[in-house]
Amino acid sequence: MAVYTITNPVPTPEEMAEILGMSPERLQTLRKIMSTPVPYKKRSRSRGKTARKSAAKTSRRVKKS
Amino acid sequence: MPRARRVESVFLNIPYDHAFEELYLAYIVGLTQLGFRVHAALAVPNQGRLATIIGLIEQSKFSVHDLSRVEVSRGVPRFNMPVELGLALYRSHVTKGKHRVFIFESKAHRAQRSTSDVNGIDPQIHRGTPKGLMSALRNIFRQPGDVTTVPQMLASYRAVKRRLPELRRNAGSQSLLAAAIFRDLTVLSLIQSQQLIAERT
Repeated sequence: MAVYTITNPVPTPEEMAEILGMSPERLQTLRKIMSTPVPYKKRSRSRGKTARKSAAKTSRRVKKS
Repeated sequence: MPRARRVESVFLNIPYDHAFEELYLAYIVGLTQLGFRVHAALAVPNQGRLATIIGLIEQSKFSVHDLSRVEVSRGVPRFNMPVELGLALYRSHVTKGKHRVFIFESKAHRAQRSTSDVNGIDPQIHRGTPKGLMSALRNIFRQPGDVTTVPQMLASYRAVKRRLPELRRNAGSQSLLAAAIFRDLTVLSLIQSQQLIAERT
């Protein structure tokens, strides 16, 4: 399989914004979006298989009592 | 303002539907970070659609065709991707190979059965994952100095993905496939890429 070397350097966001016809204001907004830290979403364990099994056990126990 | 440099273009032929959004994002981030301008048939009206697609292929030096979703959808097989592949293959033929065609699939050996006319082209197998896709892209496209690595591409993919809720809110659209979001994703990938370059130097 041949490998192709891209001849141009990676364009800057400004260059690409210009190519795509994006306004400087929108580019600025996107920079702001990208620089604002976004917290990682922790996956809720309650949806996991183990949690479901455990919930079912608890539910059975409650019924017995 | 200085005139923008010439940037190599790639025509992206993928299924545009909700189920493919993760790989769609991975294609945009990966190709953009490698230095490409991505041409996609997004928001192209039905009238004159074929002519627009042919125009986009003509503007591109490369085309990437994802045949991983050519199966029956709601009782009808999806023929758009193979049709566009055919157009690109003809373009490659008339330009004597100057237009390069690449096929991507999620499963090994399936493209040889579904589209046996293209048995001369080895498909890149991405296994339906962004990581597999980034590796496949990097198998065929390299930058001078080979600077962008798969982990960096994946880090950018995740960084852009975390901003999707805000982009969707901005565009007033739940779908990533809106033309305005496509432009945002391209530029966001480059902003992230610039940060990576700054960290490298």
